[in-house]
Amino acid sequence: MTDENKKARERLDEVFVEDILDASDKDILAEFVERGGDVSKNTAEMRALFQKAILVANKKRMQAARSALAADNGRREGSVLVDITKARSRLRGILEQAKDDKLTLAARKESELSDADVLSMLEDYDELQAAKNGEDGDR
Amino acid sequence: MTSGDAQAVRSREEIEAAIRGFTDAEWVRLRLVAKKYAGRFHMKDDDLLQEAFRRALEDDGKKCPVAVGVLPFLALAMRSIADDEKNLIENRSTHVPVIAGDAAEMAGETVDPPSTELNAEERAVLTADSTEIRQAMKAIFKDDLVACDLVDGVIEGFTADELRELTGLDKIAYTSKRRFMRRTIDKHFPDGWPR
Repeated sequence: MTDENKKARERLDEVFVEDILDASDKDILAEFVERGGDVSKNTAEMRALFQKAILVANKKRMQAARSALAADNGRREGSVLVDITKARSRLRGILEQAKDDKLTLAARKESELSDADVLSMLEDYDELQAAKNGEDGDR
Repeated sequence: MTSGDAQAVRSREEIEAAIRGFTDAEWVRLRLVAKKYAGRFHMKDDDLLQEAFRRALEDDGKKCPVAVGVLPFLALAMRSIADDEKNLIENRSTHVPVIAGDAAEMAGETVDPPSTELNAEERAVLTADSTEIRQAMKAIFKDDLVACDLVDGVIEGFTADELRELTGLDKIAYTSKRRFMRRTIDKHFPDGWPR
């Protein structure tokens, strides 16, 4: 089918859907009956379809909630309590030993860092050290 | 209305409650809209409705702005699904298993060349392709000049105001003519547009 033909059909459909939505209750019901439709049967069928869609949506919602709960429990089980004073002290020690200008600057600002930043920096440092050790081991 | 109101969307609970409260007439409208869009690519209207409900209810589905009624929202959802499905069908590449002649010969197989004859469905598609929708509509409304003008205007993408201006119809007469045309076309094509 040509694109022009398709577009023409779609535009006609849009106008006719607009008409269906704008029609009065009386007109639309009369038209449906005239076309051989059974209004009560249609309502019952549509409600059943909708009910089915609700069940599917609820099921998916429950599955999503279960997955989120499982992930959350997993995070909690994997988490370790950290003494933030000790962590700050350790970071300060690492930074003071470092000769790098950037680290020295960071060391001066250690007291301004949030707990999360301190933990994140320590985590990065540990990862870096692990990578370095790995490289040394490979040589 | 503030810009925040304009962007506000209905919660799933609100959508669910609104649909549960649909009247017989609203269920009929929804059915007729579903038939109209399902006919676009010959799917079942029940399947289209089911998918529209699903998208309306699921958290990651379509969002219904507060300013839009739930029934027009479902109609838009169906149009969107129909368009998606149509694009999917159009973009689906046709995979033809190819056995290289030499390889087949080496394997001692006989390869039948693909048939150039069209099956009934392909012939029907080609027939529809060669029939301009504009001509088909004009054949249906051959004695009705206003309807023919409306067909031209709609196909050209005119708005409702422009269509009224084009035909000189007032709002009531335009609505009435549009309804007459829809019902006439539905009688000609009860199962949607011809393929």
